[in-house]
Amino acid sequence: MKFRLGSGCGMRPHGNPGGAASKGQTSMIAIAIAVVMLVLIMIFMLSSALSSQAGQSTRSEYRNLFAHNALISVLRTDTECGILSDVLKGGYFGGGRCDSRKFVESRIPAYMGLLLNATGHTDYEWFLEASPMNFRGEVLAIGSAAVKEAAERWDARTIVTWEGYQLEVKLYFKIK
Amino acid sequence: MKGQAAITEYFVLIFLIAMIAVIAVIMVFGFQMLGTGAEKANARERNALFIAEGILSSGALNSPQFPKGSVLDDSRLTAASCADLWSLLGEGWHAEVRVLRDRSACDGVQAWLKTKCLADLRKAEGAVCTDQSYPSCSVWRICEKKAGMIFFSVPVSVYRKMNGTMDLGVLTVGLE
Amino acid sequence: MISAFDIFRIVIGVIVFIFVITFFLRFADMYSGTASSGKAMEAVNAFEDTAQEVYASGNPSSFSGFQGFRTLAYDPPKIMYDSGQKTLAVPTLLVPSTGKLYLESRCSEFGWFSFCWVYAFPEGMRILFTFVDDSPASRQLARQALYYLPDSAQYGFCSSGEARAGGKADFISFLSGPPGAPHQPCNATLPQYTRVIAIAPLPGLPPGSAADLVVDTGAGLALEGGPDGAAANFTGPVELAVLVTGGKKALDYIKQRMSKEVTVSARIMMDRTRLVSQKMVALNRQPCVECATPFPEACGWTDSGGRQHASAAYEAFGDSLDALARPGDIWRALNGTAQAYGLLESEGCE
Repeated sequence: MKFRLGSGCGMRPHGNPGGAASKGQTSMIAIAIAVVMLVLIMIFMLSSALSSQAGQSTRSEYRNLFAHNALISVLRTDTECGILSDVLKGGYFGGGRCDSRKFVESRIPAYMGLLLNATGHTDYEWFLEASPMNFRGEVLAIGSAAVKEAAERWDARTIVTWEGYQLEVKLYFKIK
Repeated sequence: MKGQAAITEYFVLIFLIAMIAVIAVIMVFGFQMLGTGAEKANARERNALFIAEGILSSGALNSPQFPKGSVLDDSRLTAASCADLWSLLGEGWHAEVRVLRDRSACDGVQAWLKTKCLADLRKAEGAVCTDQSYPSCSVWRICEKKAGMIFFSVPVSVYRKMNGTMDLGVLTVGLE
Repeated sequence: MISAFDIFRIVIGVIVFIFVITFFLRFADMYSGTASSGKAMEAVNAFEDTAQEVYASGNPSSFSGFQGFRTLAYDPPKIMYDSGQKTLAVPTLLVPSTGKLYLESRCSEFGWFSFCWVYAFPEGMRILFTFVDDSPASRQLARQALYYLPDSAQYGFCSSGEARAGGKADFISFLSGPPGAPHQPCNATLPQYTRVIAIAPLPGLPPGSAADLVVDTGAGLALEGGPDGAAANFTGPVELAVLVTGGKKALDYIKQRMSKEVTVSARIMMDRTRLVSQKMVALNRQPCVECATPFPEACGWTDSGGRQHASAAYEAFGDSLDALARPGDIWRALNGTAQAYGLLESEGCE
């Protein structure tokens, strides 16, 4: 038996086989745990990917329906100054009972606010743009312009026509 | 002694691995159930959206001047019964149509129109439509609302038959 | 020498190994099965969404999501596919194909009510007519049915070994021309997705002649599958169009669906008519005048003669709705309601 100076209190026999076996078993447990954890993480990620994909098409369909209906419903609404789309026309061609441009710029945000509150979508941000398609006129922009350039936006489009003149109206949404 | 210690260690090791395997099985099936749950929830959302689209395009409720344009006729909404609509669109849902009028909608209006605007609002706010209250009402409830329903809300136009005007509204569909 | 304990360890190790491998293999198999049936269901759901969109908007669309399906069949209103089946909510006439499908809607309008359905036809769908009886009446029948047939298919005729087809407009022009020599039963080799409609006084064609449908010009009767086929009664061009594209099963489904929608819509409309005419009197409203704009704030009060006229018009409309509930020709009854409703529209009441 060999002794080493300064190796502690007790005598350590040289080449203890029991210690090596203990280390081996510990490693085996550690490997088993690591493999199982890895497999579980992969399954979890796969499940999340599958379930998030499943809900996406419904969400997209709902958002498109919401945007389309919001746009056409707001434009069709009767106001004290007439149908809103007619008031919008008045902003380009004159006529009507009220100051068309100002009226549209105040009424549209009021209606959008009502809609978003009533539908529980106060997390939606919006932007409306009306552009003449076949005549000269200013582009009317109401709301938050940054929405138009947002990556995750969705939108709806309609054309308001009268006497051959066409005005393209687009309504953009994004999540705040 | 040495042999007994080795056997004990071995059984402890087997026990540990078996425990890990059981936990892994439980977690995997747990994730599976989560995935199935997500699929079920998505199917429900899809059905609710379907019913909303069915109501919006239903010939029984739409104004004939806008047969496919998400314009609900208020007199048809008042006359329709739950049994009628369930037989057309399937069972197990509830719908509410609410006309939106808000005092702030009168803010942008010129002073001489404001009094009339506010008076109109007060008259019809929140009243549920029946044969007796029609047309001085602004809420239609179709079928019973139940706990645990999921809800979808979309903007809609409501044609007021009695005075020939178009109001802004919200359709909310709930599905069991 | 190997000890008993070593053998024990080996045996335990092998059992654990088998358990782990079996578990993972079974799990992988479960997921791959779930994944493929999930994909098929998604495709069928996407088709239903497209059909719903076409039905609601009236705008045509196309769909290519059935590629890779091993089996696809349609028994209206159920689509049967590889791993299941689905009942479509929207009235649809589908010709199953794993290629591109064109979807279009068609409506039969009656003013207060319209019945719509969706066609889903594969690319290259052809409908060929064999005018065994080439008379003005036969051509008129075909022309009326064509109005309710989709634009995406090709139309033409087949006589003996000759089969020619083109766009719908071209075929309508051909039908507007004078009748020619009667056609011979079609025996040309025809591509997939072709339906042959023979128009002939029944029994029409010689036994064994090729035709998907044999239509009698005058009797509202057709034979499905050829001169030896099962009889199907039809009333009017809409039912003929459905029979031409989908056969008797499709016709039965559409008739049942329409009957349900008409019944419910008529019931709602009767209650609504009573409500509106009562309220108009109660509120002193008389909307039955010529109004200058589509959405007048309120049409003015007119004399009592005008009000009585409005009540009579509403009463006549209500009576026409009553007629729908009686057994008989539903199309004739619907046309009656359309006329009565047209009177209300012309009076400015609707």
